[in-house]
Amino acid sequence: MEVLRVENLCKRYRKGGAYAVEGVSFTCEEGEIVGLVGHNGAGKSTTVKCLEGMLPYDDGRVEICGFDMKKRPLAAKARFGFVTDDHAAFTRMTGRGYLSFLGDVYGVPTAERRTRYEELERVLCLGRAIDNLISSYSHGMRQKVCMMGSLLHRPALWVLDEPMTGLDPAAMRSVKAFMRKYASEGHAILFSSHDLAAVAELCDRAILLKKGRQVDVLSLSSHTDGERKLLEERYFDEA
Amino acid sequence: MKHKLFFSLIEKEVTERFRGVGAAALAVRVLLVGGLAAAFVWFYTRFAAVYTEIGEDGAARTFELLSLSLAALFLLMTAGSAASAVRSVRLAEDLPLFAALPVSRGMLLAAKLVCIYCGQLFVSAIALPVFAHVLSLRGLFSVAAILLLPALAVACGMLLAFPFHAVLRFLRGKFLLSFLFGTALFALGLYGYSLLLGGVKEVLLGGDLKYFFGEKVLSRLALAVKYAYPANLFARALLGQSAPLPALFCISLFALPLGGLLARGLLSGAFRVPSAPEPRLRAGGGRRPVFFALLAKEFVTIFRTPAYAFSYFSVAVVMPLMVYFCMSVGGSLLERLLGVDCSFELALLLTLLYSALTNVFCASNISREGKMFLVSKAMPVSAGQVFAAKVLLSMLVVAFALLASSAALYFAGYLSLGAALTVLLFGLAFSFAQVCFSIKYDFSHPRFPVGTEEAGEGDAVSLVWLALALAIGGGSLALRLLTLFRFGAPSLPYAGFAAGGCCFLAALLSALYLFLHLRRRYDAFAGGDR
Repeated sequence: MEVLRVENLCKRYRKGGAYAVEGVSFTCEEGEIVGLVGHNGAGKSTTVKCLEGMLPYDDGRVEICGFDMKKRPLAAKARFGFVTDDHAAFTRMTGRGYLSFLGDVYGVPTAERRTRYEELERVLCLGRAIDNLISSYSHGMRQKVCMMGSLLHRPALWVLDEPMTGLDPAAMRSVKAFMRKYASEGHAILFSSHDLAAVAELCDRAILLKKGRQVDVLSLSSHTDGERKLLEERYFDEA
Repeated sequence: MKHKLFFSLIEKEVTERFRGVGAAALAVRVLLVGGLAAAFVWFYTRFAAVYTEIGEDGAARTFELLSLSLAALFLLMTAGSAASAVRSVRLAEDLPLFAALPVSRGMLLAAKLVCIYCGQLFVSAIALPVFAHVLSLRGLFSVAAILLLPALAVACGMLLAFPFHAVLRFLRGKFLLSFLFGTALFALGLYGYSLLLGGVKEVLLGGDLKYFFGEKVLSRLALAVKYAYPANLFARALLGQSAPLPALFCISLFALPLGGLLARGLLSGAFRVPSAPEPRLRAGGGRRPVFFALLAKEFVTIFRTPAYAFSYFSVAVVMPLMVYFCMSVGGSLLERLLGVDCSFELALLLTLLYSALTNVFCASNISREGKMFLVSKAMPVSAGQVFAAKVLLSMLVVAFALLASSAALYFAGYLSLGAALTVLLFGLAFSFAQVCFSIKYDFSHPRFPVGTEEAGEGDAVSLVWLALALAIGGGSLALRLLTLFRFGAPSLPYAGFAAGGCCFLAALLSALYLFLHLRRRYDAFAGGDR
């Protein structure tokens, strides 16, 4: 079943200016991990921000679990969790307070919060820092608390912008394992990354963007060396 | 090369100090400072005229007045230097960067100290000529005093910076305690302000000021002056009574190197001591409706940022006191000077004016949140909920302040119950208008803070609302006086009610401005990086 549908997405930052994203279309099915790859300025983050509802888009359509982002924004937003590239969070809250806030916003029952927090803590290992102010967190710790918050309501779609940046190798390995497990449970994952190895290792498909346009869709479902080499070749061909 | 680096460091310090302050805001600040200085000069001249006439020894009175004035100035500059030293020497965000740059600590410290000194020199260069002019002082030492007094104040400030920093460290993360501490200090300052207002009243009415300075008070003042070092030495030198120049030279010779050493210790400590571990806080875990979660988020964000908590909650807490003090002075002034009772109109003016001051903080309601406001758009919360939470929190704060103000005016007997309730109602309408307008304006012109800096306070919008408060409240008072003196109408309620009408109209228009097409505008919102 289709969890995310993006059709002909177009975004300009200034009226009359160049398109930051133009004609991007792709889908994301249940149990699938899709990667958005491209060089700096290719439009990965803009695409992600548009489909999250953070940025308005000029044309096109975004549907999450069948809910149109423009017509039914609240229903659509309730069905995905997101992690931004700059790990933005309310820094005057503690990690626990932030998770509690997100639990309220996504309507997670109190009893379930604890179970999910414990499950996520095993993966991300934030430890006692959960009771510290987020303003005191390191880059990686912020990344972790944002990931925890984005998964608290077990969203059908998990959207991550550059998720591996700032994580230590152990956390990176845990996150990768968790992503595979989460997808295998029937959830969809979309993430943007420069890390071609991680994309080849995790993704079933990769959307290749260049200067705001979608230039290729590569199947990576077998996770073979051949697929990885093809991804690298196509990526560097477009450089 | 070294000189170039030194001046680059000074330039950086000055730029940092005025970062984010636009030309308009700077002009407004200059105007405000100018206005305050003019009011001070006027009051000081009048007060000096009264004080130097007390008793027969005019020279002794002049010496006391100058010593006390210089002592007050010295304390002010010392406190200012201590605060600046902690901010720019001990807690500066640029220190980790300088630790890795080829800049010697000595040069860095010298640049920072020069900037602190120049700040205090600015104060001294304004205040000392005023004292000299009012008390008819002459001589070259006036110029030397302008230069030397801030230097000694900076040296003493370095000594105070250590306990000041210790207090700040202790209060770090203790949000409730810092709030209470800040509010208590603010209230204390306000008490001093009320005493000053009382003094202004006495000066204006030419009343009992002379009787206040009886023999007992004068002998206490003389005792205080005797030990008010170094202000009394400066006063003596300025008045040419004797030449305590060797004493001043010795003090400077001792204090200035000591200040430099202390400053060096302050800077070394900043490089050496790691920042204190963040305190552990417990957050409630119960499930709340989305709207209350948003409301709690608004509160926590403000309350856990001491600068925000002070400029919002503390101002709201002390607002009733400000209204009460001004009412007690203004009411009796109007009654004794003009022989009329305009309590309702005056209360309305003060209430609107101080509620506008309390609501100044709303002008950065969106910008303050920074990038998180944009990120919140990806959460399943409606624009209505987001904005209603912001408006409600602001209204809860100001409603508390307005209720306490009206109650104070009622219980102090300045207003009847009906009049107090009316003032409360008008104040709420005006505040609602200001809150809605300020939030919407900030939403349309957001300025997200960069890095760890804090959002500005939207000076221009706040000034507009202060002017509106003055126009509505002052207009109502002027209309009342006009009808009274021109037409002899003893009680004409229309002036007050016209002001109320303006408040309600403003509330309606502002609410429309905020909530009309809100969802469309919220969906189209794309950020506000500076």
